[in-house]
Amino acid sequence: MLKYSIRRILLTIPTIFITISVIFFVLRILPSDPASVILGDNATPEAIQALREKLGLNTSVWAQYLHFLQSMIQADFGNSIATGRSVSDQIISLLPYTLELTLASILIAVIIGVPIGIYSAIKRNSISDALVRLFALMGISMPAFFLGILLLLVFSLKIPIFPSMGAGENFVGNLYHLALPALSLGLIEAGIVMRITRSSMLDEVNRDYVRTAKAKGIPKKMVISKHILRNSLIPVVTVIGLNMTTLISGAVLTEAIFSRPGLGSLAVGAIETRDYPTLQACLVLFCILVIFVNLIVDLSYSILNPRIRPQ
Amino acid sequence: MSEPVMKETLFTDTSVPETLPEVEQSRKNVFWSVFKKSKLGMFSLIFLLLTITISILAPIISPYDPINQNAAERMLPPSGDHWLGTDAFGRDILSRIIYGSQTSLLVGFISVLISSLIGTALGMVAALKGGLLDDILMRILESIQAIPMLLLGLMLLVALGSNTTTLIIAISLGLTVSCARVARGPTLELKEKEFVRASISYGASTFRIIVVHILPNILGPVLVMATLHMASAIRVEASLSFLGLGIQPPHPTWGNMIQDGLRFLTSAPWVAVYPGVALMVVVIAFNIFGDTLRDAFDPHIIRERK
Repeated sequence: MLKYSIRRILLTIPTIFITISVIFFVLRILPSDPASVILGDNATPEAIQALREKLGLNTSVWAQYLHFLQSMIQADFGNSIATGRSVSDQIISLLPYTLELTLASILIAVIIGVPIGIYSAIKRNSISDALVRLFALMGISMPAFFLGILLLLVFSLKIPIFPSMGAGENFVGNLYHLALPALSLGLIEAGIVMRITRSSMLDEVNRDYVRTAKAKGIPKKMVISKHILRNSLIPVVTVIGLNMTTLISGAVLTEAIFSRPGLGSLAVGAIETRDYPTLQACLVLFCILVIFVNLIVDLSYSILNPRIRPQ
Repeated sequence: MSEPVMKETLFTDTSVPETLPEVEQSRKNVFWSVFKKSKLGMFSLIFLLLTITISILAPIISPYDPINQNAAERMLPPSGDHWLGTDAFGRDILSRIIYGSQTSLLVGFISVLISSLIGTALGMVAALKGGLLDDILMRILESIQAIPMLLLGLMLLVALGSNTTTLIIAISLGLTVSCARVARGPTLELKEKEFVRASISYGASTFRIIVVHILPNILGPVLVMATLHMASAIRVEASLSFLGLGIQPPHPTWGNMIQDGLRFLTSAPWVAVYPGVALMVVVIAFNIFGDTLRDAFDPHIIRERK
């Protein structure tokens, strides 16, 4: 177990390495000349040349790549082209907003999704099961930005209970501003969690070990909590891990709709101004966040199901 | 959604069905008989066929031109002339929704098809072969997967320019990866099961093990995943258009229609809300359809019936 965990943790290093390489090559190599993309069509050749030198584009691709890796290891993201400020400073000030939004949504999703999913599986084919499934379907089907727009329309513009933009000052104001964005992301995630909890519970129900447990006369509640639930949770954990990226995409859109500060707004703004260093830094951070969550997911796999532990 | 075939709840005896089914029934027949008994499943199938037909027949069916502007009819609320109202340029919302369905369905379908084929194959082979191949493949897939699909799309569209091909590449790249991981998980578990180990010890080829043992057992999760993927693909397309990067205006897509309407959310909510509803309803239909497929395909149900 320890050996597996150490191996798994070490394997994140090549993952991070490949990911940031993909980001580098897509952003730097695919456009024929980032400098002219940044400056637009009317730029003078001198200005383009100056920017090329400033960005280090006049050296060879591999020299640029090495330089890029070097600065990534030192966590030096350079300066924003648009504002001239240090990208790291901007990210440090905005990261907490995005983190609280994502964590609050996962929390909402698990608190709502898992118990209702279990309930729905136990009461299979009842009216409440049908309602739960309908709700889960709506959650899954609703694009995060559309639910955000509806919540904004109803609870902020028509019935002004919640603020429509910003992030709030103190702790209470912060939570107050977090409510609608976190709900619009969390409810959607809850639908997914609910659906997977239900379907994996039902998958396990017909297995032999459950029949054996029932035959031994173990009470229903014990069979559900000790036998079925433990095995059913693997897909649930997987799906939360897999959905981390969807969640971050959702966070980007939600921040745009609610005009919330955060990494998402920073990235979208950077795309509009063609601010490559900022965009690059945001993408790298998002990816490291996802890799980290997936590491935790994989490690919890082997705790939940010893059969998966490799040799 | 309802499953009349499986009347039993969690703890009723499932070993002997009340009426013995025709034991000789082939899997295909079992599949169809389960599927057609689900009313919601059939309803969603019919709805989706109807949607596809409407999107193909868009030039004939839609009441107005989706792109021509009409200054005299700006921001009209829903009425007899314009069932779903008009937008800031006087264009009929219903007509634009009908044309928008073409983009959503086409982009979604092509992306899911490409990603399911490649992803499932990769996942199964990686899990079965194990070792270095598995490590390398999974590390590469994991690295791509670590980039959120929306941001991967944003990145590619910024670098390569906004067009339909880039859109499809970006969406299917993300989906392939999650498909591979969904196929790999259960394959790893199956690999340790006695019947697969026995088959390996007989010297069966990887291809045979995949086709005979793995594929039938993971088809359920893969199909459920493919449905969710159809939803994701349509959603990501809409999200990218919503951020102004997907297919460009004036060509209508549900995403850029919602973006258009966001500015008039208080004064003319119909501009943003109706395309969103269309988006949601189509995705719900895909999900119900997939749910029904899952019940019909599930090997556990088939095993019980035999």
